[in-house]
Amino acid sequence: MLSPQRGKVSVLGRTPQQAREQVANVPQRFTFDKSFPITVLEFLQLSHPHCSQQKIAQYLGHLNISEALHMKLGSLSGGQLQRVLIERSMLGDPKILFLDEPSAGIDIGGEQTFYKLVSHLHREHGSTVVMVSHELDVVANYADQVLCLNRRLVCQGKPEQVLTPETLKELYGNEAMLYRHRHQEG
Amino acid sequence: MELREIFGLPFMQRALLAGVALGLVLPFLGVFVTLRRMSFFGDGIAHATLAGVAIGLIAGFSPFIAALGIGVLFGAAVFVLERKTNISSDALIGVLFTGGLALGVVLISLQHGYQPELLSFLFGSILSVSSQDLAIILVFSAAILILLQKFLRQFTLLAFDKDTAWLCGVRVELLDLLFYVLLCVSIVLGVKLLGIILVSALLIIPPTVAKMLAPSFKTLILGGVVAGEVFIVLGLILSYLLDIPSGATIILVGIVVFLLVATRHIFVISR
Repeated sequence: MLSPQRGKVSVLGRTPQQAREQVANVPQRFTFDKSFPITVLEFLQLSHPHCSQQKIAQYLGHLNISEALHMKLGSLSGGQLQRVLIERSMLGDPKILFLDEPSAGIDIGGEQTFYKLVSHLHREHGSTVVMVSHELDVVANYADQVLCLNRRLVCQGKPEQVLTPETLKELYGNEAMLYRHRHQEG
Repeated sequence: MELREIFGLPFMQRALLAGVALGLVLPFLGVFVTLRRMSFFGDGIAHATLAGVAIGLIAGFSPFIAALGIGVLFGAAVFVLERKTNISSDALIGVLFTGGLALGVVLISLQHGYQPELLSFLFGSILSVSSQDLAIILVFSAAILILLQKFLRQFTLLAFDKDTAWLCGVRVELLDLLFYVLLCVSIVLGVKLLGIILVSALLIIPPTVAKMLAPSFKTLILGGVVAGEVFIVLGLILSYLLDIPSGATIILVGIVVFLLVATRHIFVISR
């Protein structure tokens, strides 16, 4: 945990240390000793010791990896591991969820399921989701507020207002555009 | 000779009790040591305790107690220097362990004549475990086991991912320090059994064998402890029957089992 060089950092009105159990994260890369024999169930119960096996299995089902419950964590594919990390972040119903490119390595079906779950967490449980993403469609479809960074703050606001051709050009170069599907317009 | 006859001898009973206690503690801690890639730490602390043994011999009090103090001191020094300097962990352990060893050799050279205690600390002497040694081993082992059980989840989280441990409310630095202290105390307790040279083997071999067979973390801990106990009991019996050094026999039993399991792993599982 970094200490602020000036001023103070407050999370949910408390110090980061006091608020840490209401915060969850999904890292872009999770490195661990893959040869270590720990099952997915054991891994998830480490972070959530009071969570029942039934609830864990139910979430795995939502993420389409029911079969992983008793598998060794090190034997999972990249996509499966990412889903397990996503489940770990969501099991405690966090107040703030940090996601760093969370859907890297997940197929399109799994990705849609994941973002639906995150949206559900946001809408039903009032969780704030802070996500780092390079995927324009995800940002356009799910974000309420966006901060566009390319060495400096390029734009800030609601996606539909700030993701203009001009800002996209500054962020990604000439070729980037946001295309809407017809079903989204209807 | 019957087992009842072997373990009917008082010194064998003390050896068995001390061995069973350490067979629980060292492989249990060893699971976290191997997960955290700290095998060299165990070896380093064991070697550094020679300074404690020497201080005890010169000052005329129990070398065992002196070694305990020095072991914990070295562990705490590694913990602090890891965090306060930019020196890597293995380099730090290398420096401190050779320092402790060198200090021990110099101090012992000041003593004249044959030093039987010294030899027993270098190579272990489970058969010379006194009632006082046994009491120390049993009390400390029980305390370590209670703490391991109490903080099992925290130690597992720390070994797996410190960021997650912090987010789960674990007091990372404090629990890390506690782990280092428990490890140092266990190693010094094991020195009496297996000696400075061999003690880290009982920390590493049982969980390494169990790791090749275990389907889960729970079975890894259970398997490591069972393996440790089997090595100790079988090693003790063989060493008595063949009249060979007990510490080295315990380790050789472990090595034979390791080779068998590794061979199975190569030819059956990895195919």
